[in-house]
Amino acid sequence: MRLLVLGFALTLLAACAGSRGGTHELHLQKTEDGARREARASSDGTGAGSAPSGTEAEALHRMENAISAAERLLRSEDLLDEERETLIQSLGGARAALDQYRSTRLREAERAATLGVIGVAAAAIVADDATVVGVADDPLLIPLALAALVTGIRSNSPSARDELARAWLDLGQQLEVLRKTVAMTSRGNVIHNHLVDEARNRAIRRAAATGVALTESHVTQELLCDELEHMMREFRRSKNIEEWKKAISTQKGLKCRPSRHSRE
Amino acid sequence: MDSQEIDALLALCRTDSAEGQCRAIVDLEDMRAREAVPVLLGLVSSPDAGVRANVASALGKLGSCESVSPALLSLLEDPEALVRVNATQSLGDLRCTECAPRLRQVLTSDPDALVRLQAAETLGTLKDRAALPSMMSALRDPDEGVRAQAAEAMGQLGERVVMPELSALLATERSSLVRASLLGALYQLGDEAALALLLDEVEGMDDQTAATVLNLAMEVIRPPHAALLRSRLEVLVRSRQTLTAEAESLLRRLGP
Repeated sequence: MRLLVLGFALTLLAACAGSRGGTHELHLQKTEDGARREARASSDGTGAGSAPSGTEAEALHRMENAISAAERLLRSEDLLDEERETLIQSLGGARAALDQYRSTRLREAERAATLGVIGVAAAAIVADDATVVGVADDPLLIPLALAALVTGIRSNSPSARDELARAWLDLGQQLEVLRKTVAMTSRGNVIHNHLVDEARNRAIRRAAATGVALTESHVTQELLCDELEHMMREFRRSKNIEEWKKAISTQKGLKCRPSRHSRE
Repeated sequence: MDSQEIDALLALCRTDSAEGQCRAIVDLEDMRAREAVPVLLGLVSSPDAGVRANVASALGKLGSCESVSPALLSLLEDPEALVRVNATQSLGDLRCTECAPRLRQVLTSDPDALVRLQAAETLGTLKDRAALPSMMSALRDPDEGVRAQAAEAMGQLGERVVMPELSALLATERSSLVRASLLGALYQLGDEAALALLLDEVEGMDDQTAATVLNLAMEVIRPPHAALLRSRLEVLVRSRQTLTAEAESLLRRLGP
């Protein structure tokens, strides 16, 4: 489970990420002013004509990692041909947008106003732990990371419409396309076996309480659906969102019908 | 109905405790306390996703389309997928046909597969024939659950024009659940041979999927073809011990 990094921890994370990029103390500031100063530092001398460094480089590195993580999904044998084709296209779009931004950034290093806003966005991205995707991370985290990256970009959009701003916004758009593709690829209608097992055990116990001995193979689909309905009400009452959603998913997978299994 | 108990639950809804609110909402729903609707509408903007999800569900049981559909439509924009699933289902429970255009959008564009699946189910419930193009596109959704539900909804909509498309999809579909739904839909649309094919599929399936498919067949069966289902179930009772209880239960429901 990822840790939520707040307050000072956010600042420290940004600082650590910045130091991985090999830059100076400006990265210790997570405030907008700090980010703007850093962006200006890159654009007015220290970084002019050079590749992005510091927080911005780290933000781009995280985008690169998220795209690579999505790329690893292509190895899945569960992917349908159409899904694979769509994912390849989305990955191509995201990679091209990232390359385009990098090359535009090299040429447009004097765009101080735009870089200031991008610096703020980069700081927000680096400060957000959800934008980190590791090689061994759960595939379900990839769309979340992409969503956090897109939010970072969109919540600080450059008002100027120069080439650099366009490349940055297009990068956000392509990452959003990739996020949607990855999210659409994930399986949603899953029968969660731990819930089915629990439902089966409950049905057996319920029958036993009335003096009826059931074995596992005696538990019919109808009994399972009844128990799942009970369990779902418990999840609702206890505000257990994750299990509640899994219970709905399992009911759909088993094609439980409210009309047939309702307790009304 | 105990009005004192309902008053106490409504008071619990007005507290700041999300846990208490969730328990109260479920109880109010169980008690069919329609007077709770105004209080529930006040909880639509709760900061707690569990409360919003419970409200989205309860409004579908206690409200009317006229009184709660604006709130349910707003909940379709909720960041929590479970809230959107419940709001989508509630719009179907309340037969809010005028909300179908928005549900068509949900079917084709929601990032969460379970929400899209629910949208397909709801549009089928609403018998929204205008959803046919969205449903056709959902037949190619990356998620097998969405594809299966879209196929089932096609059967409910009763538009025979989609039959060639459903048959063509059978040739490439790998998911046994989706194949079963496509065959069930074809049967519902008038292709009698699809029922035998559907029952043939059970042979190669694991017990859980087989039970699901047999229940699906039970749901769509028409009286003239009940004998075919009965004979297949009788064979299963004898030949597949792990499905005996399921097959016997279905035979009882099928009747003599």
